[in-house]
Amino acid sequence: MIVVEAVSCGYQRPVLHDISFSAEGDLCVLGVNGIGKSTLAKALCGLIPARGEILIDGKDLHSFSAGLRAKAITYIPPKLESFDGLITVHEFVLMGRYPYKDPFTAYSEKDEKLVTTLIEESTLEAGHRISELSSGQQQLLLIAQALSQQSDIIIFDEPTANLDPRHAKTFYDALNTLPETTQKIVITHDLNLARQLGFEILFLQEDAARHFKDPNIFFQADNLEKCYGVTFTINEDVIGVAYD
Amino acid sequence: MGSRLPSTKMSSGWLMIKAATLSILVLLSLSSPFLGAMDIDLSKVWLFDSIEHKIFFELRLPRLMLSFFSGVILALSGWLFQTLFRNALMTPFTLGISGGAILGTGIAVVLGINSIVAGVALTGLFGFAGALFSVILLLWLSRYIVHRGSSSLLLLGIALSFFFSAALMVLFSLASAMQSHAILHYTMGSLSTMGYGESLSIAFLSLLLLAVLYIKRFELALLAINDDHARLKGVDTRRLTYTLLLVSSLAIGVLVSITGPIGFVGLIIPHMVRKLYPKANHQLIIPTALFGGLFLSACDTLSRLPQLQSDIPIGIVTAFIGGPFFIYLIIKGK
Repeated sequence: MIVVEAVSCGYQRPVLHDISFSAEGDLCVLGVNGIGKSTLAKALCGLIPARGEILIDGKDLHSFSAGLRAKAITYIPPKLESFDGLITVHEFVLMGRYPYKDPFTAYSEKDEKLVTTLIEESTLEAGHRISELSSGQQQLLLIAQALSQQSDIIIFDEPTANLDPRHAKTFYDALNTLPETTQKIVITHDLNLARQLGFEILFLQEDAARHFKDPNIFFQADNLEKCYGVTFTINEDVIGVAYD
Repeated sequence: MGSRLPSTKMSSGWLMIKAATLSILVLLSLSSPFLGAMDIDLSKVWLFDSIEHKIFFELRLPRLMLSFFSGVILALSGWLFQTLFRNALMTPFTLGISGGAILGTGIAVVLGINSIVAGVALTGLFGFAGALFSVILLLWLSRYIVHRGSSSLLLLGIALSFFFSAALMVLFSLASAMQSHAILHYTMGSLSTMGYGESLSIAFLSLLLLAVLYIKRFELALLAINDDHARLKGVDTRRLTYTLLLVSSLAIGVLVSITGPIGFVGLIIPHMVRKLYPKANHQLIIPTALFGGLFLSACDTLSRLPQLQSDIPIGIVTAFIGGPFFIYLIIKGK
């Protein structure tokens, strides 16, 4: 459960002004390029300072310790940037278990087992080094790590941007393996994906967030035209993976 | 993609280079106490009233300890700064931190402070204060950088280095002829020592640094990806960075107050180890410490080989040996 109250955030100059919304269910965040979708996600995870109030499960974001915040909410960036390229896939995914690790000890055997399973499901090779992965594989890697983190709220930023249809299905299957209680937030430009996910829609504008609890209202041609400023045709002849 | 896969078997040539490097370093380090202005025969070391015994146990052995553990501190701090700031050129030297320590020690010399209080040399405290001052100055200034890339931090560090050495020059002109000479000799870097006081304190600090880095290896592994990533996984990156900078400033500050500046070790050893052991960064803490120690004590042996009037400053040897070897590793690539 996320409650955002009059939040303004950004970098050298603010990107988002006075945004308010609250969401209990899964959410798809849409909006034009550069409007601040990723900025909002970073503010929700406490990576950038924000004015206003952000409540995660009823608690102020700033009241969380670093470890508890990682258990409550996490964010998966669209691509991986790492100084150390020699970390293996296994080591990388294992780091998702960091918030559960006892200080002064190594990762537990239970953590190791969970990670081994997640890597098998992700179609990656445990021993490969992360610098050798393609951008699509890096995306699968980041997703696998976030799944091992088991946060209550997971924000996916453009999760399928670099994935072929088969691996996009892998991502979709991964979403379905998450517990019901996990709140999933997906940032995307892919309207077909957004529609197939069937989540509530949050359409982000510079100084407002329009919340559509019923996605069908958002996906009407005249509403889309109002939101994006271009005309849309909607028909059923699109090619899309059968996500069922 | 096949060609980009990591080769599970090391090529035999590469293995040879690894074995040769290690054995040369070990051999040179072990022979260190026996070579110098007076070569020592092992059989005479155990005769209690011999001059060899005295030289071996009161000069050479402490010197070997000092050079080994200094190498550990220099290499580990280089590794730490490169990891913390995710830039391959970061070391306590390029960031101006040892510059601050040198200035602090210089001030102590000019003020005539060289006493020992409660077992702690006051020059060491001045060195630590100088190092800590430059770390705080660096962090404070970096808040005002608009583009917070690590290269701007490096530029800040270089600017600080120049500032500190300019301040040291001012100190020179204020000092008496004898003090000037002491400072000049000190800035050339030297590992000569007498008795075990200095070498034991450096040994203690190097083991402290090693232990802290080893305990924090999981956090450092996350930081080596990037700062946001570490925070998303629950690392309090600010507290971690401050803690590690404090411990390393203590080690570097005290070290520099004793040996003066010894460049190049912090830069090349972590890279050398990365080339020799292509593993994740956080798994290289112990090899980095070991290679740093062996490298500096081997260089110290070499600095005493030519029978000259005085020892060659150690910093010159590290650069002369390390430079070409480093270039070779870069070209050979892996």
